[in-house]
Order: sequence, then C-alpha cells, then structure tokens
Amino acid sequence: MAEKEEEMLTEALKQRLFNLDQSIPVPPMPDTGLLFEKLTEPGEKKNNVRLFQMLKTAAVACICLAVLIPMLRNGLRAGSAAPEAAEENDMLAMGSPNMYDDSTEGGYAEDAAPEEESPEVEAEAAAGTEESTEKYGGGGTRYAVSATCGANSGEEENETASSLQQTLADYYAAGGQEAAVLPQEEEQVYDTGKRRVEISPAGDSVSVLVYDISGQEELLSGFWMEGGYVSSDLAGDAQTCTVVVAKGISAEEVKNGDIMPQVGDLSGYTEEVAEESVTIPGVIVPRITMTASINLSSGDYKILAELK
Amino acid sequence: MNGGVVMILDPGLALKARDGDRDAFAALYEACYPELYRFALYTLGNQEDALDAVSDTFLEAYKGISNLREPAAFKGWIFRILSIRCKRAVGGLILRRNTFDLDDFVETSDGGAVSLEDAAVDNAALAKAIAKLQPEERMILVLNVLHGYTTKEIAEMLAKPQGTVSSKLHRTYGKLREMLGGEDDG
Repeated sequence: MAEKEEEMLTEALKQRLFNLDQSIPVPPMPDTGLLFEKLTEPGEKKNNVRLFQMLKTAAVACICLAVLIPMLRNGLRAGSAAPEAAEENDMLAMGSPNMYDDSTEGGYAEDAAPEEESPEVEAEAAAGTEESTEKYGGGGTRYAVSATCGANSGEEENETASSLQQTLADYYAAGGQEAAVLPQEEEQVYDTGKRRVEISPAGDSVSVLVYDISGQEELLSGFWMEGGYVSSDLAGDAQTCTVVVAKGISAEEVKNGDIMPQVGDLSGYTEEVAEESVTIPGVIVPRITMTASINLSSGDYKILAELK
Repeated sequence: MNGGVVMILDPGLALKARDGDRDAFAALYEACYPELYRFALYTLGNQEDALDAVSDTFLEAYKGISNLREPAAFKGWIFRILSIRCKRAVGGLILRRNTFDLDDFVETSDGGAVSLEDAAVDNAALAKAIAKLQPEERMILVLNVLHGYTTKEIAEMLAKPQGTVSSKLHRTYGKLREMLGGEDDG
C-alpha cells in the first residue's frame, strides 16, 4: 500500500517537473555565427598558455646559457685545476638533482623559518653565494637569484603574518564588529594520494573543495564558509581535514540572530548558521569561529560554530 | 530510453554536421538548445553559468563531431559533453559563490490568468525543492524524468556505477517527496 502511494507521489512529482520544465524561460540562443567565429579565432587561453610555456622555456634556456658560458670559459681557463667546478658544471649540464639540492637547501631553510634561522645556516648560505660568485663569475647569479627569492618569500610571509595579526588586533579593538576583512591567504592544498582538499580563502569567505583523485579526478564535495581563514589541518591518519574560519560577531548579535555567518554548498544554496547551533562558552571573545570537519572518505562535512 | 520527452533530431543533419557542414551543425544545435539550456540550468542553478556551459558544449561538440560514430546518437553524445562541462563548472559555483537563482526558473511576467499564477506558485515550490538537491542529484533526476534515459544510460553518461545512479535517483525522489509534502502540509 505504502509502495503504491509512493509510486503515485512519484508520478505526481514527475508531472510537476514536466510542468516546471515547460515553463522555464529559455533565453535567446547565442548567434551561432559568433560561436563559429570563436572557433576560427586562435584559442586565446590555449595560446596564452603555449606562449607562456615558450617564453618560460626561452627564459630557462637563457639562464642556462648565462650560467654555462662563463662556467665553460672558467673551466677552459682553469683546465683541470678546478675539479669541483668541472664536477658541478657536469651536474648542471646533466640537470643533476644534487645541484638543485644545494641551491634549494638554503632557500627552503629561509622559507621555512625566516626568523629562526641559525647564524650557521645564514653563514652557509652567504658563503655559498660568495663562493659561487667567486667561482663562476656571472654564473653565480643563479645562486644569488635563488637566495634572493628565498629571502623575499620569507619576508612576504612575515609581512602576511604580521598583517594577519594586525587585522585580528583590529577585530578585537573594534569590539567584534567587522572592522576589517581578514587578508587573503594563499590557497592551501592537502593531498592524501586518494583525496585532494583545496582550501581557497577569498576575502570574507573560504571555499573548500574535496576531490576524489583515486581514479578519474572527481569533485566529491564542496562548500564555503563566511569568515576569514584561520587555520586548516589534516589529521595524522589522513581521514579528516579541519578548516577553521572566524568572523567578528558579538554574543548579543548571535542571541538576537542579527548577523549570522553564511555557509553554502555545491547546490548553490546559501544559508545562515542557525543561532541555536552556536556554542557560547562562559568566557567569550566577540568572534565566531566555524570549524568544518571533513570526512575524506565520503566527503561529508560538519560545521561547528562557536563564539571563541 | 524509458519514456520522457524525446527530442526528435534528424539523423541526416547529424551526418552532414559530422562531414563538416556548419549549417547542419547550427540547425542541430538550435534544435537541442532549449533542452541543453534547461539541463544546465537545473544542474548549475543560474542562467549565467548555464549559458556558459551550453556555449562551451557547442564549441566542444563542433570540434569533436567528426569523431561521432553513430549520428543517430547525437543527442546522448552532446548531453554527455554537457554533463561533463556541468560537472566541471560545479566547483566554480563554490569558488564564485554563484547561487541557485529561482527567478531563472519561474516566469515572473504578470498578466497571466489566476490558474497560471497557481501554476507559477507550484513551479516555484518545486524549483525551491530542487535548489536543495546536490547538482549530481539534479542531473540524474532530469536525465531520467525529462529526457527519458535509463539509469544504465545515465551511468554511462556520468561515468558512475549503475547501482550508484539508481540509489541516488531513488533517494532524490524521496527527498523531493519529503520536501514538497512538508510544504503542502505547511
């Protein structure tokens, strides 16, 4: 009986869907002539990519030549008197990873801990730069560039971190009012081999996309949360990923349901976090924190909100 | 195919289009366009994304039509391209914060009779319920109900196991019945 009723309801549903379908206004079809023109025009995107790749290849070739020519000159001049230079020359010519290890070591050390870098590392990096400049003349540019890049990116990180701290300080100073939007952070990507989680902060919200990369890459789930990016973490067992965002809201605003942060999912449906679902601890800071816990095997996620 | 609205396409046109006849391809596209647009709209939820997906499908289909083995299967083939396009575009919905736009589903022009207004309310309620479904659920529902594809055919189109498609379709009907039943009660 229940089955029959279900069947009837389904049939009625289908009929309603037909009616809706027939009433949907369809915008005029784009001019096919224009679309064909698009086809005959060289594909801008693809060409840009191709052009970029060509330029990149040319730039790499120029750098290699700039490094190799002085090295070869020095090598010819010094002959067998410079075995180390010749060895590194060979490695460079062969694209040996050792060469990259040497150059990136300092760079990574500087990237990872720009403030806490030991004097020894600094000294080593400096010595490496000087040595290479000394050895290869113009060829040393490669080391110098890589060291400069490392230092620069370290500074940029420091700047971002300090501006984030400043923004958070502004948050609190403004009594939880949305005084400033958290600065845009870089995209965070976690790759477990089976799943890839892309976390993209974009001003006042953070998007999270979970891809199944075990076979054909496929979007497993996705959602966004209103608020500034605070942190994200992949659990040790690579089964759960957590994403934390924050937005300046006072307890009164939560209780009154005045301004609640929004969340959205893949359906394109947006909703506010329900005030009854927000945890308000005894001691509160006027900032609502939303923590999304994502089950990486299913893509299911749970968003918990708390004033803290 | 198990019923539904079956679009009649002239296989001769598909054959000519496959041989490089632009006019034939344009005629085929014109015949498919409303269905392609609606399918993209159900999946992506707003006109802008739907139109982009359909235009991209047109370009991709034109580039690949010489590889179409069976001209009679043109409709399934172009829907497959569109469904892949839509799947790719879904991630962009999150990144661009594009939302499901009810106005794109329901004709808001006035001057209709009372019965038409009732129909518009009914359609709006259904569109609201559809908005709460996941894009893949919408795709499966529309392909099955409106385009008459079997779960096996949909599984091939979406590169999913047939069992997954069947259970998703069943669940989607359940969700809709629940949502619409709830609204009727309220």
